[in-house]
Amino acid sequence: MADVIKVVDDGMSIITNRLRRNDDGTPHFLHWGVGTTDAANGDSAMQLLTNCDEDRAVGVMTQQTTNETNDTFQVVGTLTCITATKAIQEAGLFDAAGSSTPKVGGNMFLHGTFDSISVNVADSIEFTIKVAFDQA
Amino acid sequence: MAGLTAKDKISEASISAKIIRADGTIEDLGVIAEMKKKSSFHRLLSKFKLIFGGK
Repeated sequence: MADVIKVVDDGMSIITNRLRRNDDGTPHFLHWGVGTTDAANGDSAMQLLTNCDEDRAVGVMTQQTTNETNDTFQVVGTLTCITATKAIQEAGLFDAAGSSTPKVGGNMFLHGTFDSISVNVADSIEFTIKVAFDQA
Repeated sequence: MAGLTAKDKISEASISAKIIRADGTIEDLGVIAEMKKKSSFHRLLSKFKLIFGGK
C-alpha cells in the first residue's frame, strides 16, 4: 500500500472553524492602506498608511462552502474614511486591533492589493475576504 | 520509514468590495483581488502556530 496522508474534507472544516473562533488571535481585524506595490508572500504589514487613521474594522467571521462543506474562511468588515480623501489600494487581515495612529502591529494573515478605490470622508468600503482550502 | 507530509493547499483567496458613499449610494465592485496560486500547507501551519501559539 502506498503511503498516503490527507487532510480530509472534514479537516478543512476544522481549519476554518478554528480560524473563526472569536477570541484573541483570530485574524479578523481589517485594515486598508494606500501602498502601490503588489502584495508578496513575505509581507507582514500594510505598505503605506498616509491619512489612514481609521481603526481596524472588526470583521464578522463565518464558514462558507467553495468546494467542500465549510472549506472556506470568510471575514466581512467595513472601514469608513474619517481623515482625508484617499486612494485605497491594499487591504489586510490581522490578528489584533493594532496600536498607535495609524494602526500598526499584530500579525498579518492576508494582504491584498488592487486597483485604487477613491474614498472621501464618510465613504465606506465593505470588504469580503474569503480563503478557501483544498487538497488539490 | 519515511515520514508523511500532507500537501494540502490554500486553493483560493479573494477580496470583494462594496463602496457605500456618504450619500448612501452603493457601488458593488465585486471581486477586486484574487489568488489562484497554490500555497504550501506548511505555510498555513506556520500561521496557525503564530496565531495559536502551537509548537
